[in-house]
Amino acid sequence: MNKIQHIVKVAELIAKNICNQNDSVEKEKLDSWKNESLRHERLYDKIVDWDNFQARNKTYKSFDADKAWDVFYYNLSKKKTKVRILSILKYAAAITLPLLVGGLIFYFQSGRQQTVSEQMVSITPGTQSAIIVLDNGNRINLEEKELSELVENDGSVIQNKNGELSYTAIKEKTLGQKHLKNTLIIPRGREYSLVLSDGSRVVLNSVSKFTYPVAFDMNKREVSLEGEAYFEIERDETRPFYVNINGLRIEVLGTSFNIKAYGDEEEIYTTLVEGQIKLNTAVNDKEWILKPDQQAVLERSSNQVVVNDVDAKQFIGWIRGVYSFDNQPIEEIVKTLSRWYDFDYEFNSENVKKVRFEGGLNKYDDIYPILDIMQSTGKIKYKVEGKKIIFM
Amino acid sequence: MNFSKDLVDKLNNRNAKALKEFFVGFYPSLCVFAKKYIPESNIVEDIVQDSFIVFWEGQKLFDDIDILKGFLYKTAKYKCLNHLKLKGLRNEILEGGFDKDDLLYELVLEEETYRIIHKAIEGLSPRSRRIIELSMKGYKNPEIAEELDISINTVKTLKGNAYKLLRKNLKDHVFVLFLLNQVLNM
Repeated sequence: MNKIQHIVKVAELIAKNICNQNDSVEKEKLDSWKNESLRHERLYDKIVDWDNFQARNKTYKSFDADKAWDVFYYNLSKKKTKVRILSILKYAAAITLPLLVGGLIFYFQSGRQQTVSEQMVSITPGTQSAIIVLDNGNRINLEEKELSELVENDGSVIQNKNGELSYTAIKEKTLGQKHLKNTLIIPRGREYSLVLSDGSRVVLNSVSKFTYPVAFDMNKREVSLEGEAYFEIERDETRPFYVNINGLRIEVLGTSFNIKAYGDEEEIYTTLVEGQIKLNTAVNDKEWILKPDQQAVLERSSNQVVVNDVDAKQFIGWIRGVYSFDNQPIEEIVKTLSRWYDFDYEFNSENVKKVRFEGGLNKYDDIYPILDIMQSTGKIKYKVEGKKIIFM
Repeated sequence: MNFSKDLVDKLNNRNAKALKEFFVGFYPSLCVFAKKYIPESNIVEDIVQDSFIVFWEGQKLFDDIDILKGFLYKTAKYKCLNHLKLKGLRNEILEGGFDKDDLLYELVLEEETYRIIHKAIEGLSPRSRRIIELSMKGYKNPEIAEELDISINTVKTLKGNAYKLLRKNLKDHVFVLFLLNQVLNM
């Protein structure tokens, strides 16, 4: 046996011993391991020491694996650019055109910099901002006002820090007191997140509107949404959490999920990451239960719901700064991008709209490299006029 | 044990999707490990990045994921020692016993065990996780109750539920339960 495999076995032995769950043979094995040397005995004591574990966790958390992956992938694709471009062109001949693969974006960016910079600076990636509407109807644009704290009429405190609003409810609630409501409006090219008074977290995407009570009821939690949001709901069985969307109501215990419900789109997408949620449509009594990695698609016109198995991670990439598309027509891709990069668009022909791409992009990077990659497939051309992109 | 069984096959085929899963899941552990040799985090991260490149661009195939992890631990250690030698820090190597295989194996055993625990905590619901995390910060039950605005009894119940869930998730990796017991009873 390889030494490393042996180490893993020892770890399991130690584990069982501590919880008195090992048989006598295992006990003997561990004892003989411990008796092999003073070092072994000391090591055992060190591993079960709580402070040591805590110190390790602190170090562990200081390393950001996702960020490191981006760096890693960038370095890798820089080395292999030639090979990758070839494979992209090969793909391009097929029906689906790869949009770009992670680090590739950097290559195109550096290669095209001059032409890009003179041409257009008008379309830029989005930023973090929002407009909050207080219960009394006052609107505060968080972009214009530097605001670190607000107090609502019931005494609840709203903190504003690093692109996130955080609610702390007052402890004592008077019986029968009216619940104050706030609304958060996210314009085009903006995003914002929110921690509700129960500790649940909501990340809101561009062109969204979210209404919620400043403090929740004793027996239920109810909010409403237009647009796209990712939810991480705190489990509280005594107070179910409801999300109301035009035509749909979602009941939640503790879980995380994404809802995409834009007024200008025919479908509402509900994607479950973990836990369980229940969907009810407004028109009939039917309900649907979603499991992790399932997505419910509601067609507004017919009120039909279809549940599909999906890779949920693909649909929540935007909260981590990534948009990814899986064999989607350019029309859908551009619609999504236009909300974040805040541009208008036009297609010169119906055929252009149908060209499909797959791949992902870092949403905090410029949009032009992606457009160039699309163009490099030879299937489409694009032209930028001010804030408008024309696809030909 | 934290990775799926067929992952190593996909990695042997140098499948990029599998690489991402493995990289993101193992990167911080390898950093924690390398930091025992070199205190500067930025240097540690460079070394760990390079170690993954050595694996990815090499021709080596691995029988199981533990062996691949072992390969990466050893590669990272080798690179750490090289760095120290280049910096003229041979004394540190001698004093720390950094060139000894014993130390390597001890650090691997420690980190591999803690990986299991970490993974278990990650699998909890947001609220249970928060309670465990507060406990890990040293909060006592009444302080957790205060922080989350719930009663002490609720804290106790939630801790109990978290405990049960972890027991279910971990099965024979009961070692974890011992450590968590300390948290939960705090």
